[in-house]
Amino acid sequence: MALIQWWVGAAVLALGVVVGLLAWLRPPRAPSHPGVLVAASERLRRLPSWKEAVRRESRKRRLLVAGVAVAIAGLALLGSRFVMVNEESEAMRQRDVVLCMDVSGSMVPVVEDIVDTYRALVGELTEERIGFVMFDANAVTGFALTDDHEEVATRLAAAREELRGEDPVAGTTAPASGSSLVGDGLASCVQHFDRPEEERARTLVLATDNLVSGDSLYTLQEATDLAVERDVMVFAVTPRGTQANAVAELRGQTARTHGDVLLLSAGEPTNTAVISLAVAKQERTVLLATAQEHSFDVIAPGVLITLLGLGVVTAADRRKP
Amino acid sequence: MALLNRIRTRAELVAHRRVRTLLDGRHASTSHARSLDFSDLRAYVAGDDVADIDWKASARHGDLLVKRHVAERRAVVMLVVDTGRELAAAAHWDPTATDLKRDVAVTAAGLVGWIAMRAGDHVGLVHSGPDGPRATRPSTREVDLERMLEEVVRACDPDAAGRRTLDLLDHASVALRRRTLMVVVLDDLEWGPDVEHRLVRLAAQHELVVLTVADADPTAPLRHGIATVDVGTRRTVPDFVAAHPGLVAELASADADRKERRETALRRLGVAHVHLARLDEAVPALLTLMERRRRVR
Repeated sequence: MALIQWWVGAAVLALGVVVGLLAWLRPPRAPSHPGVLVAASERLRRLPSWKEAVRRESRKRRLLVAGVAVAIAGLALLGSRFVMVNEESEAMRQRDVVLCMDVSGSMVPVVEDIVDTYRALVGELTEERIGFVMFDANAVTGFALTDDHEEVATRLAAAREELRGEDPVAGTTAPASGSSLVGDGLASCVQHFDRPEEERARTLVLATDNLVSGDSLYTLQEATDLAVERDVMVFAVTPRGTQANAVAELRGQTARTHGDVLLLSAGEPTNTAVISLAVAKQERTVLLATAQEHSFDVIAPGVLITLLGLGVVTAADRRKP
Repeated sequence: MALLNRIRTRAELVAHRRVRTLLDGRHASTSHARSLDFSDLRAYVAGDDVADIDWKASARHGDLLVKRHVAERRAVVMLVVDTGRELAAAAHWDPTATDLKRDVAVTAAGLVGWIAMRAGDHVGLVHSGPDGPRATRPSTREVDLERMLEEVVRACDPDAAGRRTLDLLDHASVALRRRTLMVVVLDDLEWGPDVEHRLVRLAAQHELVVLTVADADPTAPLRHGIATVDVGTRRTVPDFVAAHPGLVAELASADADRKERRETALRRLGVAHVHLARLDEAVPALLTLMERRRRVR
């Protein structure tokens, strides 16, 4: 919420004040037509109706002045371009969140917690488009980016059921190339963001323990390069107890995208809230910075105030004496 | 003689016959006094001047006879005009014509003066000049009358001083010793005891005729979208008054009241009076007034 051309508004107001002062201070104008000379016009002032007539006239003129002042104020507001920038709903609609989940064998103990974390996060973020991708050796789309949050909740619940089973998620395994290819998974998830031409806040929540086995096409660093290139902020969610060097690598890479690593303890229900809040909060601060580009003029108040002023002027002028 | 010619034309246009008959009735003085014009003889009474005795006629008649002469003295008509810038204002306004109070006053005074001159009377002027009230010597010459009317016009310029009615009336009653036919041309004033006292005094000293000149309704031009300027303050009259019908009606009734009060007071004093608003009506109204006065004599 700001006036980005406040000097124009100030100039309009100053002009209005100057014109008003000049009109006030200027000696009464000599009539262009010489006018009819009359004598003893002061006898009008002694009539009983005189006061009433003057009162009515001065009320009318006060209304006129007030109407003009309001109209000028409205024009000043219009001229100074009143813009809104921090409408959260406006900014939130520009956010895409891809939940990117490692479903390799090493993650099995914590998948439910992670899905719960995702669900809590989704419950928190009500206006974003959300997508879900699972990967092991290959990435499989759980669901594409959507703003249908009921569907998101349903699908996540279904995914939770599916992950609870013994079998790996269909399509994610590729024994030839290995398993838990975090770099490939991250690259697939980064490419999952559609509308690359639009300026949107893109957030990726990567749940992995960063235990790579096999040959991946992308290393984690290359995948992160891709994320940086596409302005994707990557958050990593890692189970507590992951190897320190793996966590450190994750932390280093996510930091390049202005993201962070959040540790998840298995079987502790409270920490999901902590994570979702942290994610949501960090996302929001970043989004605010990007959302400033998307200021929009709010002209309705200025137009309404101007019309109100003009309406008052017209009404006062039309008024029967 | 521009002013006088205009008045004469107007008078003759309006009522040629009436003016003629008015001029026919020259009022010779009925008072008897010394002069070269012999009138008749009468019996001598104690106290008559011995020089007036007609000795020859007395010898023929046997009793003392005294010559009587027609008084040479003619009547004096004094025009007392309450001049001032107020008279530069309008007496009547309608979309086709504006009648100035000054023109109405000059026409009225000039007409009376001209008729009196044609009857052989002396005509003088008392008016408020730039240095206060001023009396002009009565004269029988039309050139002098024209000059007097010009002075009136000059004293009624919009830039002239305001009227000083009371000073003027005081001056008229002090400066003129002889009994005259005094024609007082007054503004449309608010009638008060101060004016009335002075008129009572003048009515005792002179034969008094009062002419009043109306003030135009200041809202009439405004109702036609024409600006109205007060001649005294030089300020425009606010135009919203015309949009207030109650105010216009009240003004009309207040003006009518003032006129009524004034006429009542003058009737009580027994002073002949006529109220003049329009130039066209001024001449007929004055002639009517003068005819009425002749019949009364």
